[in-house]
Amino acid sequence: MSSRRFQNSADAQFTDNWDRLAQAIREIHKKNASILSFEELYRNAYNMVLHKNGDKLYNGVREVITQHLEEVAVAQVVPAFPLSGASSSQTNPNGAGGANFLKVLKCVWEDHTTCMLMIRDILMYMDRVYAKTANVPLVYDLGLDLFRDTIVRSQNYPIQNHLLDVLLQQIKLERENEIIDRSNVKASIDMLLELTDASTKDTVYATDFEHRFLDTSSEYYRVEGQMLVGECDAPEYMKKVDKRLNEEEQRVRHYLSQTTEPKIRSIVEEELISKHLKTVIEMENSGLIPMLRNEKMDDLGRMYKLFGRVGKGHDEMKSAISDYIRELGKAINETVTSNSAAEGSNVASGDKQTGASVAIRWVQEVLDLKDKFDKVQNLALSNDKAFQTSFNEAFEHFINKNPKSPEFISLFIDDNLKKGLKGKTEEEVDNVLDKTITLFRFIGEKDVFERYYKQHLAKRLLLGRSVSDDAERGMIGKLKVECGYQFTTKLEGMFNDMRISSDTMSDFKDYLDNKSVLEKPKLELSVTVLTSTFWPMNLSASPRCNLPAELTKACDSFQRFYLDRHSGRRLTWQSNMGSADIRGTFKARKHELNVSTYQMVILLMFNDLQDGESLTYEQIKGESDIPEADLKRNLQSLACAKYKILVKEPKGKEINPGDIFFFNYEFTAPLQRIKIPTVASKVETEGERKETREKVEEARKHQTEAAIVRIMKDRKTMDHNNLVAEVVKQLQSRFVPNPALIKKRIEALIEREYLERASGDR
Amino acid sequence: MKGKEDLNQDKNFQDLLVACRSGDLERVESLVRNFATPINRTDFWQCSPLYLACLCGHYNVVKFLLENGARCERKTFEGERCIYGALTPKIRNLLSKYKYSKAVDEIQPYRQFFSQLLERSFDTLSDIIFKLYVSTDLTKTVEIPAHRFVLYARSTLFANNFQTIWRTCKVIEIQEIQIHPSCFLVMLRYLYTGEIGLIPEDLTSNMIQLCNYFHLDNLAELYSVTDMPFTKIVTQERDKIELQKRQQDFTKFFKNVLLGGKKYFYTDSDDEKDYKNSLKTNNIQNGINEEPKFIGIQQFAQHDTCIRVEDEYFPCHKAIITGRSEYFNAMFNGPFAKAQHIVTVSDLNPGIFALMLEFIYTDKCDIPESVAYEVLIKADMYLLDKLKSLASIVLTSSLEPLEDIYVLRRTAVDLNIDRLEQWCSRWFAEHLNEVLEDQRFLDLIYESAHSIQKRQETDTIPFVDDLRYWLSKKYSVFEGDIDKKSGRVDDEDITAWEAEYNSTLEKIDQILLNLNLDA
Repeated sequence: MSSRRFQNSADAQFTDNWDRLAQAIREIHKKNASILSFEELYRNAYNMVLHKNGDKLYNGVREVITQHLEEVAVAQVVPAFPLSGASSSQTNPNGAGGANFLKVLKCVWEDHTTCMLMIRDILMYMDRVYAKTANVPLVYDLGLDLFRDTIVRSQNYPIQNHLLDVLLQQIKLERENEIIDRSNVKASIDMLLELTDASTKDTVYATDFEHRFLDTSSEYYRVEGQMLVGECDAPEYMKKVDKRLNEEEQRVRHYLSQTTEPKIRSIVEEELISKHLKTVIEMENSGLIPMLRNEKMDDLGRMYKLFGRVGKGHDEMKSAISDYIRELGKAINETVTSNSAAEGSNVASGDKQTGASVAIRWVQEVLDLKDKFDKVQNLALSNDKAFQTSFNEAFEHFINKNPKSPEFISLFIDDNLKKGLKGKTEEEVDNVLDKTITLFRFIGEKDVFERYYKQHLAKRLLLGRSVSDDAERGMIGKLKVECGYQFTTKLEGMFNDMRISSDTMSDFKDYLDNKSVLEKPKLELSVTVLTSTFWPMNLSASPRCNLPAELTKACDSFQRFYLDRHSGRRLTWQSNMGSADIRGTFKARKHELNVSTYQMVILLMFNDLQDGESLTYEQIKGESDIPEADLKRNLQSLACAKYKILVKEPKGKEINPGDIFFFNYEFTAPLQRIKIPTVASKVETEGERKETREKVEEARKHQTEAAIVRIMKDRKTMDHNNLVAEVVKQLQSRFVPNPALIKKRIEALIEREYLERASGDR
Repeated sequence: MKGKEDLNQDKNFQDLLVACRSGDLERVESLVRNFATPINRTDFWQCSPLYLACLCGHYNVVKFLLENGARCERKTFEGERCIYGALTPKIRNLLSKYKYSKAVDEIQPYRQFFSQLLERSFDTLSDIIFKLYVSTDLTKTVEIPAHRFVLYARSTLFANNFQTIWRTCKVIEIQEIQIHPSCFLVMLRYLYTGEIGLIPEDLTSNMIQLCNYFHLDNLAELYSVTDMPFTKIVTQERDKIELQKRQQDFTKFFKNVLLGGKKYFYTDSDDEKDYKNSLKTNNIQNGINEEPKFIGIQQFAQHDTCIRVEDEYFPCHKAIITGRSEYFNAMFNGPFAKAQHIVTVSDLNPGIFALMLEFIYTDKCDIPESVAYEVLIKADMYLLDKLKSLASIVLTSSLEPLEDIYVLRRTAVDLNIDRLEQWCSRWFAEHLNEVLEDQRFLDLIYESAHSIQKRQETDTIPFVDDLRYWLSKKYSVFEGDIDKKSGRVDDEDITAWEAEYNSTLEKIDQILLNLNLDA
């Protein structure tokens, strides 16, 4: 029953078997497989392997296939070489020769793989039994290796060169918008991908083709990059780069290997983006700055997207935009200084309205700039945090370059809370204030801002100028969020004083009702009691003023009432902050005038005069004892403003010593009740500023000392540098302390024996 | 014969347990893959191979066992025991995340084959389409492809219909009852794989109706039980029964229908009259490449191709023979596939071919001892590895060689059948004195010595090593007593058996010396 045949007939049988198989493989190559019997061939191969002729079979198959492939190379591949050789294939402009070559190669490859599948089926037993034990490639893989060595990397014919050249040329043609037959290229690429390089175990595609493809691409885009930079403006350039990137991605997807995708992408990025970053950013009339100027959001967005692909792209963009912001900021600052220089020359003429409007315009311009870059950030830069940070730095830089920025911002808020709110909805108000807060964030000297804000708030509260309590409190709430509880306690204290005062006033009214008529003052008095530490008024320099007797009496009565209730307190009258309602009789009709306390004092002096009589500036000054600056301001608003209650000789906008004032009987106005505005000093004069500055410096000294003591109490011993660093850290939410100042404060504290040098330390 | 096989399995199972204890992955692999040792059995102390491997902390063995269908169900005693007994957390994790049902489906190639046959019925040569009307819209139909022979084998009703009213139908429309397509698919799945799929409750009545319609009484019964105990243990038990039932169905179909009841080998259990009756061919031949006219039941085999072996014709189904054998796949689906209906396979005995077909159709095969060697050779030739192991099991279960021992030994080496090789070496060791003078024995040693290419002084001869090993077993020599250098027992008080062992080794050394070999 044994089916094993023994060696005696083996040789003959081997020859017989092998002849049949070799013939069969030849028939397969001739595409005559239909005449073959799979069953018989399989059996032949099986017998050979079983009789230990696996190696002979294997080598025989190798030979037959090689021979066939050699023939194919000569008969089919070589004749299909593009006409004038590889190097001059450019003479063949549409690459038809190349395309044909690829087509032939595709056919050859397809034939080969089909044949190999059939051969594999026949030799299945050899694969399973012989190839495994002999550790040789399976027959299909052998076929691939042979194809690689005989066709693709033929030693005899320059097939490889032609193939690679044609492929690269086809790709080049496609890059130049020619239509190529992608399927042919894809077939060849797939073929290269399927073949394996023996030494590297990588695909032939990777070892032979890919690096050449990358090199040519690199060269191609280097040239194109230089050309485009010369020809196009920035948006156009970026559109082209974008297109190129898409094209390459498509190309890889359609007929190259996915592994090439990152490589070719980085080449395009390197050649078209990295190398021309600066050039494109700085392109005149179309670069980054013009784009920002003209708000070309699409182009900016594209630039952001493209430049983000390469390492330094965003950094370059960031610094360019930041520089631009600084530049614009500088320009805004300059208009202010030039304006205030103009104002400086006008100061003599007392035109301070301009000052406030300069501040408001400055803030508004900064806000507009901020809006603009927020928009850029939002629409073009996909809210990139890194960009935001660098923009903020730029804003911080130029805002702090303007020493008046804390005052300006406070003025802007003042303006908005005073009248600006009227036509606006609550949301709009909130919006404006929110924006202002972002500017406030940029300020380094927050304590200076606080000082100004306190002043402005005080005026708003005392003169009842504030439009809405809610808005005020909202603003304080926002500041609290920004700077913490400490920053706003005093501001809140001011609100508290206002509330307590209104209670006190109703009590005072009851108190007066119980008094006899004689004791009752003849005028209605409303007093606001301010806690001196909360409010910005200077106690020691409380302005003098001679009040009329009536008024003095009323004040005394309140003072008695108040001190009865709160013993141990002291009241100081701030006559410069008050206002009064008085009735004036003019020729046409009576008017109710709402004036400041000083104005009231001045006007009451005219009560004693006959018609036609006048008072000189010096007389008024002498009698009222009002400080000169205030006096001038109040006279100005009475004699030179919209409502001319007084007539001045000689006429003019400025008040000068020696001027003469008459009561204006001829005065007319459409309304019965008139509010005489005080020409408020909105922007400080240089002198005032210096004073504020000094106060701020003084306050800083105290704060610094307090901080030092706080820290030292906690740490007991500390070296100088650490102490300075710690102090800076604690104080920087309010201002940026200068190390020299800290050092001075430490010395002062040592002098006063609050601190001492550690023993052993000099 | 059955008893012997069981005995053999017992021994394999004991070996498997030992290998699992010791973490010998290769041995476990060989036992499970080549000898189909039952993986889910338990020993006297209720220890399963998986439990032992877990207990002894052999991660790789545990992994292999799980991948090859070892069960570890949380709710069973064995499963819990495995998880609690696991030596390392790594093994415990592996156990708890392994899905039993999935593993089994993927691993058991035979079962997997049928479930793929169903799932991809469109490209697996389906030869019948069922048209069902969608209950919600009577103008729409759902077409479900299937394979005639599976249905024929598994259901009497289908078999009858295929013989009669559906004989020539390509499309069968079922109009009499409304069938939900998913019910029909569950039924098909049951017929193909023996699996009992879950049905949403609202479809249960439809399912029962369907089962009744197709006379699948026991399936209908299963679905009529209102609170079906779908616990895993019950499911597993039932799965086992259903699997067996399916295999029986296919065996019956194969033997009675495909072979037309013909028996190729006479066994003791056969009635002599039946056997002789079966010997006459059931077909009438027209021409050599034309399909014969099958008569009797064979004409209903629902075959789509026909294989001629010598003078016999076998009706076959491409779907199953191409799916289960690479050789036939290349023959019918590869570039060599031909339109002709009939294919000849030469150099083969029809009886052997019938055994091969039996294996292909049913995944098992009763191999008579008389042809085991021949089956082994053909199984190797047609790349049917599992059949090869089945044949080698038969060959190695016998006490005396079923074929010339020298041929057997060479075949074992050539075809790389470790089990058979060891069995031969053992036989030689047992009968050493009888063969020692035989030139053929000397040839074997010589061949074995030269099987290692570029042999060096220090290399051993595999055959001789095996002989020594089995000799030491024969004489019950304790491994520790063997001197490493000389290979002899080098003890003060030497037993008679050990002395005999030493002298036998002497003889072998003498032979080697004569052959000019050194080992």
